[in-house]
Amino acid sequence: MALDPGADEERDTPLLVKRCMCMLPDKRKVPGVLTLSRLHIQWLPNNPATAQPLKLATSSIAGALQRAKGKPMVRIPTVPDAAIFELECEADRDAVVELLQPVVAQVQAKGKQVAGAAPRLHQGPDAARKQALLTEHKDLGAVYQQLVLSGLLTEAEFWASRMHLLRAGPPGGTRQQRSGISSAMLAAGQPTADGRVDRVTFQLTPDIMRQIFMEKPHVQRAYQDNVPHKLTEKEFFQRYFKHQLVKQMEQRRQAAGGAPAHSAEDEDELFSQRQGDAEQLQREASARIKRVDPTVNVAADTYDALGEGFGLPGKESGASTQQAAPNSLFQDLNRHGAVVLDGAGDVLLANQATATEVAEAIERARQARQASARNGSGGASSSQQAWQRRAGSALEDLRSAATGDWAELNIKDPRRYFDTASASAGGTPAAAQTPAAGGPGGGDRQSVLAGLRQAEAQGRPDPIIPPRAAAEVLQELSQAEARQDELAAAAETSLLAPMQASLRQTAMTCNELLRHFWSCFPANTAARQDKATRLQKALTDQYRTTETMVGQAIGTDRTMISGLMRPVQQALDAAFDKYDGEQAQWRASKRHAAMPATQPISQRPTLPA
Amino acid sequence: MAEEDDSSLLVLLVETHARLWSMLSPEQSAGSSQPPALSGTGYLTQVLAFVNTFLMLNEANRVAIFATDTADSHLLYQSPSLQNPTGRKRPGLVPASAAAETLGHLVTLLEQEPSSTEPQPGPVLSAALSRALCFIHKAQHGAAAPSKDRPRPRILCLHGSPDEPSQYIAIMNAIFAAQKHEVVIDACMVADVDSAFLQQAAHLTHGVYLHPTKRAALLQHLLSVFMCDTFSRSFLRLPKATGVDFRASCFCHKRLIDLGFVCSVCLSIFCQASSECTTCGTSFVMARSPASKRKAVSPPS
Repeated sequence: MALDPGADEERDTPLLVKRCMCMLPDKRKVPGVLTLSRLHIQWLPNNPATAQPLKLATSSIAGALQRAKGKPMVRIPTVPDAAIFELECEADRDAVVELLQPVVAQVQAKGKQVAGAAPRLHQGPDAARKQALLTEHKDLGAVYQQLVLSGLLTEAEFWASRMHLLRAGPPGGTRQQRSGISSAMLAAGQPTADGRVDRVTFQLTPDIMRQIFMEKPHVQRAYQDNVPHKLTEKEFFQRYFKHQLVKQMEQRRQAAGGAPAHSAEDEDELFSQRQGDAEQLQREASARIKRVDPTVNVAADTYDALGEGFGLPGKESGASTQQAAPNSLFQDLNRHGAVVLDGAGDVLLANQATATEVAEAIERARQARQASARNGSGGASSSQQAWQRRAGSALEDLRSAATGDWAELNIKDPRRYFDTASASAGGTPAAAQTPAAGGPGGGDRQSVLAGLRQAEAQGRPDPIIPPRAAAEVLQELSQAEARQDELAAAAETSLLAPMQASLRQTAMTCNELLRHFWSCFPANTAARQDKATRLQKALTDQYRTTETMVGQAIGTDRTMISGLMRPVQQALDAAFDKYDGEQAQWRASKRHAAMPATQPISQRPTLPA
Repeated sequence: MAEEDDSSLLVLLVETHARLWSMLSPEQSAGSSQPPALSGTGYLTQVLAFVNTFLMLNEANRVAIFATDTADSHLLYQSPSLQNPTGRKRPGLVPASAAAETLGHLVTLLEQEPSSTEPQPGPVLSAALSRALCFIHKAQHGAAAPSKDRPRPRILCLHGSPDEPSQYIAIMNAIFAAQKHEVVIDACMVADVDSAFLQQAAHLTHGVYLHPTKRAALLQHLLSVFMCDTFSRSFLRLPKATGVDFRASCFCHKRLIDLGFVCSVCLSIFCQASSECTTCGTSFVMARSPASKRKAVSPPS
């Protein structure tokens, strides 16, 4: 690993040195020497007693450089205030300006870029969550600041390894609950009458519409058939409620013992149930029964049919008509119950305002359900098995959470699997590595056997191990332990807090970069190779940072910092080794790919030796 | 011994593979006082001394010793109460015969072993681990004592041979089984090589992996590190693992690899990319990467 420790110094080498006067805030002109580098503008007074030396960072230049007309002066606007220098001649001044101008332009361009980039942060649906995470976890925020905002990693790369944090969802838990349907049935569609005028008023909200359409498919069909080409929406519902009113009055009259005044003109043919409707409902019901867990399916088959004698004093006469009324009531009740239990599907979550939208959405949901029922009929046996398994144990919610499920080991093709295993097991590398049994220098079984026989006959040697060796081991064990913890504890007490923080920051940055670096392998695509190269460069910078940290420290701090940074440096070294090895392979493969005869020789890429 | 002291059920896996003797130093003459390195006899006698000490430390301690060999693991000794779990405990029984009994079995075992010059496969650590786990399972579930009074199970592998990559899957399965049943696996390497598998075993089961430098005084290492029960370990400063070799061996060629391909369905590990998983049969549909598309469209440059 070849490092270039002088990169920063190189940027700071003096590019231009000129004699010049500096205009101080109190309008004094003090002679001195101006030194320009890429990073700094430095001015030193000839006589240190006359003024303070001045050192400005080029990055602090706030605007364009201003030349004075006719005088060899330049005004450099910096953040607190401007520095004004008077050079010996205009040529010198122009040289200074020419040198500084590109640097200033660069700095300003960078500033714009950063300012422009800021609003694009945190894209995607998790933007708020990401921001919350970064503010919540300071370390994460620091690493993000250092790596993503500086452009070393892209936003996506940074979050890719932290999907679990995003997926965990906000800590408050604002997960949307599935909305249900009101279980109040009779309130909907009840007329209100003020008693003075012979008029009843029905209130109709989208929710009521939805309830009507879901519970009464024939009404929904009538609506879709007739609205809007035959009837308007208002006319349709007026007819519907009129029909309902007539039906209710009829039922009341029957309940009071009156004769059925059933006539053809009272019944609106629009809302008459067709022959197929009952069958359709029956089919749906039986399909639902099949889907129900049979272990809890207590007499589900009896469904709506209520025979005689269920709390109904059966009169001999008119029993058939009387039976029809309660049956339809029970049917309505059951239907309502079924709809409420089914819940509002996802399709209904969006607020449909008009009746047409509601009707269409319900129709779509019904068709989807039917399609899935048709598809799912084949899987009935598997769900049966699942029910039986569950019924065999207990009800699910009464059991504690399953601690671990055993998965069946399913080897698709055992012959192939074991054949490859046994074929490759033949030449184990381990056998080749180790010396053959009874090799020179080693003991063998016979001598061990002899030793054991001797021990059996004469007793084991006393002492079994020499006391001195035992003492050495004891000392080693206790000292090794002390050494391991000592460093961390000592560092915690003696190093300054900012130093500790910066060490920690460096270590975290290195870890993050290393994680991304290793995820580039196997580097089988050009993009991954590019990323590995990019990260390797960033890691080189980090390595340099750690070295400077160690180099700048003095005394005991130095040993401590080097001790703390050693694992990081080792990890970086391992990454560099990997990169060097891989790079050699890439070159080899490139050379290999460049070899084909079809390729013109002139186009062959030049390869580094 | 106080009743509330934790007792251990220690299953000792002692490697007695023929190759190990050659990796240890040759036998010393009885006269030399300073053994420079661990010899075969020294290794076995020190282990026996450890067993005796272990049994004397706590009356309720149980031990079973298996010898790990080329093709088999042999039970050398087990505590009497393990053989007859329902029998009445005889207080004050001195288990002094443990070492002697083990020694006798060891001698018989080494005598029976066929001496062949051709290279043999390595010791069956995976089988020994599995057998130890079965033994512990049987002992724990056959015991009449309530579960809190049962000795804490622990496996100590005294190993010297290098890893056999072909045993990787079996060993990992044994490790996971031990993890599930809260059996601690300790390892002590008696020869020069390190074992990645045992490092992982100790790491996953919260055991101790020790590769002593002064192996001549093996007994002192065993006494200092592996003697106390697993509960007391939390109060001790045991040698920490400086690092764990997490390398796996691939399922296809049983090579030890540090970077590989993992089946997204069954997590099988492969050293080469393939279009189909040999374990579960999942076929990997490779989406064409943009780079390869570009290559296909544009002429080679």
